[in-house]
Amino acid sequence: MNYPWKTVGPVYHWDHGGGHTHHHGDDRIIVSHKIPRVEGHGGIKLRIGRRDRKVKDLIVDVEESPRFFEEMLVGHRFDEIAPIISRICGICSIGHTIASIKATEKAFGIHVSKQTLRLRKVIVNAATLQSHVLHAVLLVLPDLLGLPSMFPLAEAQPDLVRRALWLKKLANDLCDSIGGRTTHPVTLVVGGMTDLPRPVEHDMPAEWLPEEVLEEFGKRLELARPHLGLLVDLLKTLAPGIPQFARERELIALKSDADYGLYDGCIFSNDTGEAPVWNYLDYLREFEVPHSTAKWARHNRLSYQVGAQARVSNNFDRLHPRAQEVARELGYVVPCHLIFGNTLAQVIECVHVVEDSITLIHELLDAGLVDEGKPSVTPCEGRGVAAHEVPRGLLVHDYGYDRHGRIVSANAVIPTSQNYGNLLEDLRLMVPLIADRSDDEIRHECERVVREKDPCISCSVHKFLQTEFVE
Amino acid sequence: MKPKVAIFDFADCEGCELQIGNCEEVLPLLLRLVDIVRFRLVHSTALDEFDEQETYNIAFVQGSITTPEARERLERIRERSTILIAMGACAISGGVQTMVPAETLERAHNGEFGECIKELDVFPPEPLSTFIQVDYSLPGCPIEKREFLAAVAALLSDGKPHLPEYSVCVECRKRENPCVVLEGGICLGMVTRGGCLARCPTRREGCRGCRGAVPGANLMALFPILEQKGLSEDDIRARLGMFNSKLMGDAK
Repeated sequence: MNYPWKTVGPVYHWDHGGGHTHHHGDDRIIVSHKIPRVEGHGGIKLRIGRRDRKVKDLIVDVEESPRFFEEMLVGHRFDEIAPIISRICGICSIGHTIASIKATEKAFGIHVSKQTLRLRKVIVNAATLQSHVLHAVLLVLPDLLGLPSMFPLAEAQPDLVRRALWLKKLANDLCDSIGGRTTHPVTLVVGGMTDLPRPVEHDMPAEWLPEEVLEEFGKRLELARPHLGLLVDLLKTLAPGIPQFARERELIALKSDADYGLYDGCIFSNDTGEAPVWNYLDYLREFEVPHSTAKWARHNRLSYQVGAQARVSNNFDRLHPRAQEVARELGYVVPCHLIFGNTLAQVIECVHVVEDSITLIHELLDAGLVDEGKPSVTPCEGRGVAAHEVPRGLLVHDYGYDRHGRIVSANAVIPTSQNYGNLLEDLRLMVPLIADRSDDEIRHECERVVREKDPCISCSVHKFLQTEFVE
Repeated sequence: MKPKVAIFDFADCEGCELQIGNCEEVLPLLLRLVDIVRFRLVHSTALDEFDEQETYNIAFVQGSITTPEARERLERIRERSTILIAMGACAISGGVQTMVPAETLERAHNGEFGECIKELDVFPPEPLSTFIQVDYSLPGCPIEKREFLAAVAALLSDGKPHLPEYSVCVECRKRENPCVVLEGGICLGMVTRGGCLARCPTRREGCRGCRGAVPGANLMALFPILEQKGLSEDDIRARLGMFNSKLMGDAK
């Protein structure tokens, strides 16, 4: 399984202070703090034996301050929960909002209308597209081309960056139009939606009706195809240079009979099959690590992976045929066990969510939009557990309510927390293969692996602080 | 030489800096006008904030301060910046995390959330202005893109960023929205600073006050109005304090 490890493109020149190296006895200690181009503040500390080149210590250091979100929710009314918990993370705010209102709806026994369901699925698709384009093109692609960031990338590949920004804007506009705001959405509430899609300010005529707005988005989504096509073509030329290092792993994602399962489904593992969402505590077992304040999660093995790679692997047959075609063009084999298998999966999903949104918009228009008004909600005592696939993977929210609709208990299982163990296992396997390189190169490669997993460190530290791996 | 702009973050959700990344159409123009020298969310070389040589013409800082290390880093950023702008509710007034009960932090110090948090000297979230002088503020949770760009434009032309001194209600009326309160809903628009173009009430969802109190807001007068909607005094205070407990939640 061990492929020769090679760096793609030149290793860019480090500015001062990206990290430091020192020696401890015979060992090399490599530190990277505040890894750039990831969401949140985190670093790596790595100790490599000078002679045997083995990884002795590997710490993913989370420098984010804890913000105690679950504690914050207790006592608050049901209509304040989603707006509060979405502030865990701006980038994942639509995902948190969806998971939160779904959990509250489960607790109160509320079923939403078909129209609401479709509109929510479109906004979930748009949020996924936004997040994936940001990560794949603006954060990861500079690595593949040996550039330090999107700013020089914009000079080297102006056309590509222009198209990526166009896609990102399309996704943001969709979120804005349906959700009322791209970050921390407004219209997504318990029981339904407060409003129908509206024209995007300074972009569409203000007098447009919701139907005209959706029609316009349908057209723009069709225009997205060639932009994505160009990105896929570029990745096809770069794909042979992506390190093919593999480690067999457990991949967990939601699975649904109805569709690709981003909005809802049951929990599915490639190791053990299906399980119901309410049983998540038995399934996604969180546990304490010695010398660590962060909980890790495990299921069937030491670690598992969630996110685009897991979803594409487990639900390949539910992908839109065009997305399946792109997967084949990119040589993406499922289930994918590659360390660098997440970004390509994200690009495949970009194709899927564009096609799926076009279908959903047609369905919405065919059925005819109905102004359902702001939903009225009768709270009751109970517990609600909901799972949702956010761009970075499986997210579970679990709330207990009293009879007045106030939170008595809350728990959230975050994708990045679930991925920490998997990330460290990947790093531990990779580092010995590149231990003969310079410290800067090793640091750079480790940062690339962290970035590839698209961690959201803000989310992972909603309660805890630091993860640590001690050999 | 182009002015040097830096973007820094502390304890927050990074939603505000994401708004800068979301200015897709304007970004190329912005990059022609200024050098963005520090923007860790998207830029690799921006790492050592303690480089003695480096100074910034404009620093945008988001997030609240919760540790002594963060406070020290903030003070260093201030020393290096000509103009420092607090960006978003967390930086201006502490943000949602100010709702964390005091006893949670006590439990953290007692080690209930693990040794690392116990060792880390976490204190209740403080806005930037507790520790340093803040020149301007961009309110909101998150900030409005439009106001960010307007602030940059104002500063580049030797002007001053300007915020509306009227409430969200003024903008809501201008947009001819039906009033959320009159339709039976809960809305804080009447005491909240405008500038968001009544974003939430326009979508028929009450304002949650993320932009903080408008100058001269009569917070007391809000209580009887919202009590009619079935909210208790504590509920109203909780709502007022959601994003800006330092500005609004201490009312009454």
